Amino acid sequence: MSAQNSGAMLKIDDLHATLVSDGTEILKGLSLEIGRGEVHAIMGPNGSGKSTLSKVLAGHPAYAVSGGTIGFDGRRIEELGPTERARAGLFLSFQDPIEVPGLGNLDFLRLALDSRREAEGRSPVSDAEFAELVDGAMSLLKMDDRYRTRDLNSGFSGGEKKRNEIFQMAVLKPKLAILDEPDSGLDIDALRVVAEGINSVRSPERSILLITHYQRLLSEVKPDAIHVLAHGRIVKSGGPELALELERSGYDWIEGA
Amino acid sequence: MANGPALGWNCRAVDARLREAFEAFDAAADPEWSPVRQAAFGRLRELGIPTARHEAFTYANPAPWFGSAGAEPFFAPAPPSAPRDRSPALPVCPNALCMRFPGDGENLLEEEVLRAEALTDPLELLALSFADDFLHVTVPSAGDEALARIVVAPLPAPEGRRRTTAVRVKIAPSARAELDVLPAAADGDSDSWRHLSLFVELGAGARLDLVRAQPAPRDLVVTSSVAVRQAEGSVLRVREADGGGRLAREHLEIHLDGPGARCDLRSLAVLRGESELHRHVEVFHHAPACSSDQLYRQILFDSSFASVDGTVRVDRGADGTESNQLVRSLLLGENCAAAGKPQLLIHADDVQCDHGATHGPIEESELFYLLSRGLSPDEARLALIRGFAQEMVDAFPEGELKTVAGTQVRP
Repeated sequence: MSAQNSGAMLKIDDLHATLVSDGTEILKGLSLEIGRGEVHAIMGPNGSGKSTLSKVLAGHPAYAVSGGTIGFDGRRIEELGPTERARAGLFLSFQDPIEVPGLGNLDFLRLALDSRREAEGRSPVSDAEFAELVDGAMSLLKMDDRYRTRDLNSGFSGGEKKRNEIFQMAVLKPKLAILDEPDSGLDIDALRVVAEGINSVRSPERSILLITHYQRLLSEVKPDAIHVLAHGRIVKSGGPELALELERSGYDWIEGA
Repeated sequence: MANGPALGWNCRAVDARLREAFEAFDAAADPEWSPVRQAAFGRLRELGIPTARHEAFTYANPAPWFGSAGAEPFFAPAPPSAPRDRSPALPVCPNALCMRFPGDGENLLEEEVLRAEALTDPLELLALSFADDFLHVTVPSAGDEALARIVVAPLPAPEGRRRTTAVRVKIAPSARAELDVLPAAADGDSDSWRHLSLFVELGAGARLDLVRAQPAPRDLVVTSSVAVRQAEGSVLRVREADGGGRLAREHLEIHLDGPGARCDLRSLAVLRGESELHRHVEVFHHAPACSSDQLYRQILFDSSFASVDGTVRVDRGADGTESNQLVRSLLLGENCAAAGKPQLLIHADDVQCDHGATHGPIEESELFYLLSRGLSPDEARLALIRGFAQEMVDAFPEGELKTVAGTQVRP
């Protein structure tokens, strides 16, 4: 695998992706570049391919890349499995995280962290270090102690699941976080807390791809760029002002949307 | 299954052969049990000999009864070198069973002769009439929160032989008890057969935890028949973990006789190789405002097979009944299979009865979630399998059997 663009964290070029089950093409020539430390937001009407993009980037086996390339942190990843992508530093926050009764929330997080560390040639996290990471992230996200003893997302409300996703991100500290509608189902207070969590992982070395329907999250997490996705392609890009325009006028005025 | 031919046998020929062997044996030994045996055998002949073809759920594969060395004690006199030391006059066999009670346990034990007349299952009658070990325990009302602990520790079955343990337990009104059935073991890896007959009566307001864990050796046949009668306001919790073995057949019958009685069953099965497990469960709601909750989880590797035949019967007048039954199976082997046969027979108007079953491999969405966090496919599968089982293990009371249940799910 050759480096595509050493300056970009993510460089997608003319990406085509289809559903494995029936061959339906969802992404139809999508191109996007996110620099290191940048936050990009993707908006778009329902069915435009936003969640598909997030899953294709994370390596979901239900989708096949039928054309184009995905460069991540200097290497091509479109042929890697989800494990390798995650261990390379890619993180997907799910729109609807699954529940796994019987698997402890923190047990799982520690497994994930150790998998990453093993891939980096590091030793498993120590009890003290893990406790420090967990305590810091829980405090940041105003999570109560019940999250320590509950099973992974089991019996969580929609808002609790979203908060738990951001909690995982805050502990794992990925190079690129893809957040698929982290604001859906959140009340205003929870939205602010989640936004704080997202902002906390921003750094010159980390990038974020934020998928959302609403401008309100973007008022808390200031993006560097906003893209409109429609019919499987990026049809318009702009600065933060684009979100305000979309909030006012919808998508009809955009050519190709 | 490697239990010999069960299908294709000529039933008349089998019947004649069995009858001849049975009568020869019955005339030769244990005359005090003869009426029970004769009644059982007569009932078997009346109902027909069960076969795998038409009674797969109820009786499992009957080959161990008729076609293997395990059937030998039933229909042939015991060889002189292995005399039967069982006697109904000595209902407690201290070598086979032990009991532990808190404090001064001596006063809590009461012995009675086992009563078999009320039984209707002919196979169960036969098993009982040839039982090797007997125990009858009564737990009196303690007047406080004292917990009586009864431990049934079956002796190993001799190679190629059946060993039946019969236990009857009465829990007095308001008493609390835990009944632990320790794993049955074979002598080495022998072709033997363990059978447990367990009868439990719960008095009004009594509470019982019935706990079993059975990581069966590969060639062990394990069968059990458990019947529980519950008086008003009594609570039964069943916690069990089963490893199958060559063949396991479990019959569980719960009678909610008194208003407000409750039973709660959590059953885990982890089967490997060609293990086979059949569970036949009947819950009878005889009185109003009773509840029953059954949850089965089955993890099937390789070519294993598990079935749950669960019937809930609600009598006329048993209004306010609440009943749930859920069977979930993880199918992890290329040739494994699961079967469910839920039945609701409802004769009351005001009831809430649910049942459901899902059998399938690990959900792709669950696997992807764990992979997306950096777990390898093997790590992710193991975490999901353990999670699937852990809920059931967590429901066990603390103790030796919880440890046994927890070790069932291993890499």
